[in-house]
Amino acid sequence: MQESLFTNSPYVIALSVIALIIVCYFPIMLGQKTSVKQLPRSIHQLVIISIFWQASSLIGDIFFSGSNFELGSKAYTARQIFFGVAGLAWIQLGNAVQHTAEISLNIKRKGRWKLMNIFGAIIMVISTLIFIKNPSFISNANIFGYRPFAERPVFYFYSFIFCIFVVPNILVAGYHILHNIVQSSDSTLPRQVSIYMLSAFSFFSMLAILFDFFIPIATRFADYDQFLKWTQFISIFLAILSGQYFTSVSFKNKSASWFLDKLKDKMIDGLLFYNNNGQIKLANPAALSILHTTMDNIFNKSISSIFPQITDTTRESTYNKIKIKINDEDHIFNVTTFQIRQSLSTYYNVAFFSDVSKALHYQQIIKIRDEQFKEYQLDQIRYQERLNIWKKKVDESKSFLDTLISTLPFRFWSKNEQGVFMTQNQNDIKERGNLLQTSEPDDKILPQELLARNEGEPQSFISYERTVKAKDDSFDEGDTIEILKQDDYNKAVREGKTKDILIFNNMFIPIIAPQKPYKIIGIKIDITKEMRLEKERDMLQEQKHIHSRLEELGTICGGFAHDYNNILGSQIGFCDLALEVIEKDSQAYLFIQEARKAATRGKQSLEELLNTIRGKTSEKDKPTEFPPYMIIDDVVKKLWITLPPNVKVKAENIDKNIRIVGNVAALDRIISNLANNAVFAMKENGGTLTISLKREELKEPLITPYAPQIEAGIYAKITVEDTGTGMDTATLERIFSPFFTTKAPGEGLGLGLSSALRLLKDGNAGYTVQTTLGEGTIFNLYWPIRNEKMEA
Amino acid sequence: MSTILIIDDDAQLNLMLKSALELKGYTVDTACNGKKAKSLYQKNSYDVIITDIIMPEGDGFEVILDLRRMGLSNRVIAISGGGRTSAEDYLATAQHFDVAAIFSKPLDLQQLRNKVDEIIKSHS
Repeated sequence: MQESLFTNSPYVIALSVIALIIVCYFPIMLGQKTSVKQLPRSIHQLVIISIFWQASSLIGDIFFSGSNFELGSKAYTARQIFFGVAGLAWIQLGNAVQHTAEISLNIKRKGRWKLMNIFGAIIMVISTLIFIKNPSFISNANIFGYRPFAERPVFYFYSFIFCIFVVPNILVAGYHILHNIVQSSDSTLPRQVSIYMLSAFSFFSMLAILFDFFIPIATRFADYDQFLKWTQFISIFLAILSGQYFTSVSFKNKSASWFLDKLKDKMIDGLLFYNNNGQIKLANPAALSILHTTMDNIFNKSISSIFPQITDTTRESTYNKIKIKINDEDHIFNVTTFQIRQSLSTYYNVAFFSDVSKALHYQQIIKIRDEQFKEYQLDQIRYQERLNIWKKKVDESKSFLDTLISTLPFRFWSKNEQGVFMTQNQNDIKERGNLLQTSEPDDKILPQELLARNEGEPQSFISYERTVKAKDDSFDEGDTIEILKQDDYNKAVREGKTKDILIFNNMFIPIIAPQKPYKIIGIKIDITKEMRLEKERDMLQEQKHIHSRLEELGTICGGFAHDYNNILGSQIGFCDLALEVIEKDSQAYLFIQEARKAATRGKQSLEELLNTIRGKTSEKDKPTEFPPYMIIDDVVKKLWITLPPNVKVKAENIDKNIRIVGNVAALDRIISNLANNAVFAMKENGGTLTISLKREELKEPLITPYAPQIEAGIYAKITVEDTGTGMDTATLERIFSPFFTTKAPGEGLGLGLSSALRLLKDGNAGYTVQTTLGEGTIFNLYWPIRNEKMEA
Repeated sequence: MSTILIIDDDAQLNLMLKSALELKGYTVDTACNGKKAKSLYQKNSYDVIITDIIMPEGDGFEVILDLRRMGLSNRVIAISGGGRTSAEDYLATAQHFDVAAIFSKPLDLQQLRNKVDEIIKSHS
């Protein structure tokens, strides 16, 4: 009869199956929390122990339950082997648990525990062999006369082994945890866990020992058919607890707790932990630094000594912008207080605070900067707008200037301080090519230009230039320009060789700047035409002057001759009468004849004088080619001087291109006469005198009343129109009679129109007259244009 | 008996012409300007009127035109010595007004007397 080592209770078998499943699932369960690899070997060992134990025990329960086994039979041997395998598992349980506790609590493992474990395993193998071969060796073992294993050798012997190799380890592990709980100043999570762990650990250990050892012994093994069954199941809980403990305690550095701890240490906001009485128990480094204190100074101080605003230490609340004085500095804090519950019975109060004075300060600065930046952006936009407007203006004025310069009717250029061409208008480029960005050789630069550039004196002078054709075309670029002196020009004028001479008005104008030398503007105006015209005008004036002097002389002489003619006529007449009545042979007859001869001689010499004067006059009056508008201008100017205030004179539609051949003085006289008469006609009532000049072609002869016929041809038509009194038919008939006048005595002799008529005749010119009483008179003079080409 | 009026501002010429014509047996009146002449030829009837052109008051053209209106232009002889312009101009103008004859000064007495005779004969 043997001891029953395995039970055949179906409940136990079912429990064993469940336990095996749980044990196999155990690594997966742990792996969900943290990688299996990170678990220490002791945990793996625990799992393997449990698996072996559960498995071998289950096999034993199924196949080797009961006590009917013969010593030496195969069943007996197999039963002992399975029991030994289970034993090899549980013999290491204590070691694994202790190992786990040591790793979790960072305690250095001592080598002798390992040795003891190996020794336990060897004892287990040997004892199994002994029980197979010779069980009586154990049951008969006599120690100091006492046979402890005689009654139930298996139970007592293995209980003894269990006490030696497993219980010490478990006690040591419990001690480590207890030591950790007592020693640790760290009142946070790990300590709490350790307390829970120790409680659970002790409870399960007690439970196993109670059911596996105390109750069987106390009941004298009534219905006892198994060994270490409770311990076997509780080992699962131990494994789970060990794993949990390890992950909670020894993994703290790599867990959320560790992260929070680090965060607490590294964060720049302050954290104060305090209990319900408001006593500060812990502060993070930031809190100490913000409050300028040390942990020793602050420990157990009241939270309200730091933040007086916190009155109820357990209430969760938020305080914004509270002012605190630290080291005589004003600081502003945002403080939040709340509770952290760690377990049912333990919790902390936390004050979380941040010094926002700097933040507020920075916020203020950022706000100001932001406003400044916005202002700056606005400024930039405004500046850009102003810039755009200016740019537009500058562009406009530049294009205006460019257009102006390029269309100037004379040559224009500018040079910079060094004499380099900066601008040239089209006229200048046409004349001497594009010289922009080049400078002229020194010998070509005029002294006036140098004066303007170096001294800032504006220069204006007239130059005479003759274009000399190059004799040899292969030579140089062609024409060269010879600059003449004034004397040379005058000489050329006298000789009539002015055709190839151009006259220019030159200007060098400095653009005055703070420093010499200056930029200059050059202007060159071709005034050849104006100068010629002026010369022509001067000549006409001179001619007119000479003519009028001669005419004056002629008039005086004419008057004199008229009187003298009459005198001589009378004398000759009386002589003739005397000769008629006197005796022919008397001496008086001879004398009177002589007197008549003398009078006749006087008459002849008088005629000679008159002829001389008239001849001279007509010689001087040789026709010239001239533009009649000049005469009209003169007449209008002359009229202005003597014009009554109610009469206006205007020259309209004056064609300045018309040139005629004729006597300048004659035309002047004619127009003056007509104009004077017209002004006279408007003296009473006022009015307007209009003189116009245009070219007119008569296709057929023009016949009008009161005037000779005008032949077909091309004429310069001069119209003198007044808004005066007009003339009646009788007056009109006689207007060209000498001494005919409607003027009162003293206002005029009435010779004007008649002499005008003669002058018209001399010039081969015709006239027409239209008049309406009370409305005015229009005289049209038709002066022939002989040569069309002359117009140009 | 034929009557002749001589109009000239030169008294000596008037006297000379008057003498020359009186020698031929005409009755001669003289006037020194157109105005005085007008009163004479309006009062009396003359066979021939000899007038100078350029005169200070009432010139020869006025006289000629006046007489033309009276239908007497064929009895008028215009004489002129010229002045500021040549005598021919004035005489040409006078001729334009249908005078019987023109003479420039100094006068050829013989031709003048012949012309006077001719005019008188043509009217008788």
